[in-house]
Amino acid sequence: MSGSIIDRRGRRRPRLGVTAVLATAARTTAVLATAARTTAVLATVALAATACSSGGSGDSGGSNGKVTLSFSWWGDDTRAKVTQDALNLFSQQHPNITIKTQYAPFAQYGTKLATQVSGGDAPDLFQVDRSYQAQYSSEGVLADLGRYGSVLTLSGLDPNFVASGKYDGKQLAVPFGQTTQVIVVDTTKLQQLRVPAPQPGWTWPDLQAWAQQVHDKSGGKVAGLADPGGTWAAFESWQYQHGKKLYQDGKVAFTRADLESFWNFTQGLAKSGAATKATVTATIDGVPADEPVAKGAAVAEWDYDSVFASYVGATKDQLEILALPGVDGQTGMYPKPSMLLAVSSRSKHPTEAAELLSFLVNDAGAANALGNGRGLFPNTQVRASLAGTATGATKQVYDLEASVESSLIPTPQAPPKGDSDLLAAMTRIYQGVTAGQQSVSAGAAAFMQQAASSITS
Amino acid sequence: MMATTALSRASTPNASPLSRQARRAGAAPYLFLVPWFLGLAVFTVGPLLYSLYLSFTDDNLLQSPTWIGLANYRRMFTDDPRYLHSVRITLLYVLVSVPLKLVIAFVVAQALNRPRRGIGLYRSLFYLPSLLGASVAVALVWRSMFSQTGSVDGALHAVGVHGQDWINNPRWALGTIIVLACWQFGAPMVIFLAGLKQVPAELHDAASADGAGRWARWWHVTLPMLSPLIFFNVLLETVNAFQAFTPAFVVSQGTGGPADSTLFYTLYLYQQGFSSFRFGYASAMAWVLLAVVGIVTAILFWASRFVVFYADEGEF
Repeated sequence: MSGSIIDRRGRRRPRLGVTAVLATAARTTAVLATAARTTAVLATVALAATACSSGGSGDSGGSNGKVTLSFSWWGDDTRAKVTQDALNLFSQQHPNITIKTQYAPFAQYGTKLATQVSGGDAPDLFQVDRSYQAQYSSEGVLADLGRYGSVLTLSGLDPNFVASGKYDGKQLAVPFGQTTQVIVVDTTKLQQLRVPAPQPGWTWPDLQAWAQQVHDKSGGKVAGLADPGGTWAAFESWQYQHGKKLYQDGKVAFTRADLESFWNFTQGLAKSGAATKATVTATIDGVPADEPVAKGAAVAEWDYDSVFASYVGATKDQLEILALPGVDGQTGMYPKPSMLLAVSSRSKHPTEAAELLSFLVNDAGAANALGNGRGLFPNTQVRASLAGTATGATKQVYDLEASVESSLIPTPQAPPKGDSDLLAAMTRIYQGVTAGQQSVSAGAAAFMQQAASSITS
Repeated sequence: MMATTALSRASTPNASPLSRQARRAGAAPYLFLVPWFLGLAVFTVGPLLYSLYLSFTDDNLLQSPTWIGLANYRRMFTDDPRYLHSVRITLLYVLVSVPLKLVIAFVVAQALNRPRRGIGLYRSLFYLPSLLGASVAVALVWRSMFSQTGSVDGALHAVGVHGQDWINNPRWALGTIIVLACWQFGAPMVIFLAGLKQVPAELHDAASADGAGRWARWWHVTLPMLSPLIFFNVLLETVNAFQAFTPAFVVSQGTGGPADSTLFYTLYLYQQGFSSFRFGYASAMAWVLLAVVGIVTAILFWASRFVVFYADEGEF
């Protein structure tokens, strides 16, 4: 037989060629199947979504009026604990309602929620991110909360802020925390470098001069500012400061020239060392512990005050928060919903879900349990009483908010569908610009092209 | 290699009673296979066909899909510069990492083929990185090693090279992932090693007797005898490289960054499907990948007829 040869020790052994051919064929089939699996994974999610179309979740009301609600949100373990504390309070007040919670980190939450929604298995109550708000609002996923006015009280919240949850005139979501745009400053480093801390009411040229001083006095080791050129929300502030907007009626309202003026400014900072260099800027990923200030590569960084506590937790240095630098006195800062709460349009217990929502945005006990981890508490009266007793980083946030309250501009409409794409594109394209792979104008052109394909509504 | 035993048994005369038995068993074997067939239909073939359907729709997870014909496929090649960029990145990765990895695997296999004390230990050590495979943990370690304050940078500093943040530099990020791929050369190495051990000594002896030197023997004996395995490894590594996902996903934290420098095809597919909810478009991308991998495989098989030598076909 040709299947074997005699080897040097006299044992019969299969021939290499045949073996290899067969093995190759077998493995190739397997590997092709793996390639096919890439498509299969995608499809399984979609199929699972359409296959199980039984609406709603939780038990249908039992004979003794017992109700089970599902509540879904994103966040970390710290947030899980405080949320559970708040929910326990609600359960004590409503012994007939059981709440099942699910939570996931932000990155996975979006996928999970979308899959559940498309499978008709949406949670009764869930957190909605601002950049996906329009998508969910426009596609009939969210219940009109106006119908549950008897259990949902919104009179204790700032009406302008509540309006940020509206879509086409309907209240489809309620903000679950208020935050605003700030600059976080490491004052310990500033003292070491003998650079005076910046003062409120500063301008962009002030910031440039100050940041340059940090760079120079540190011998080029520390940048003044973590380069905000790739931060979509920083560009939004820039637009408002210049009397312009990001979106108007669901359409793009910024121009290539606007983007170029912003990037020319940030590139000016980066090239002189006032702002971080490309490889450091690329580490800005929304997790303060990974970012330039916590790593000691910069003294100041653009962010929302709702994450200030995370900065404090990530460094031993003393930190402060400051209003954004302004243009002609305009800081462009506004009260932003850090996240929103919405009830599924397919919920079997929308009234109870709305009741829980009302509790989470109004109740003093809930506010106590939740703390500031989602931003300022929505109910303004409760917020004021909490502010009076706050200490440490929490107090710093309240103080900042109080000092800028009168200058905040009204909360803009929810960004259109596709906004989350632009948020990512801003970071991505600016990384190329600041690394010198693309000119500012070429980057801005690429961004406008992305905007045209992402914002189609 | 499992296939061998099956083959030699099937090709001997003893095989016929076996097959007669099988015939008598009738439908029973298929009955036992039903659970597997069900799984295949429900979890593989069904979704596969469904994704083919989705690729012709505008499915976005939230609304029911609408048929849009070939629009997704057209969009890829005419209206999506990032798609073409991801194709370029993936091709670059395949063309650089596969040959590099295989050369390393071959050289190490040669070195480990000599009888030496403790050779088993060396073989295990060299194979170790591959056991860790495409795991998330390794990619995480890689990320921290090549980052700003990582150990690679530290080591370079020690020898006076001015290091930098490799992972966060768009010029080097892909390079670090290629290095990661090459480091995991263990699987092809083991296959080469097995092949080297099977090269019949009498061929070498005969060649020596004919006056062939070391290089001539390597070129005229070792290489031809190993060519089926080289082909096998090239095929396997190429197909795998086209589908590389985990390292890029972990190293770039899902962004394909910095500046899209690690935007592998599968990563972009994932982003389109799971971040932008363009399920129809992502499905179309998956099918294009499947088609391309299929074509590349076919080309490799075709080309192998001219360069691969099978011992049982040729003349000694």
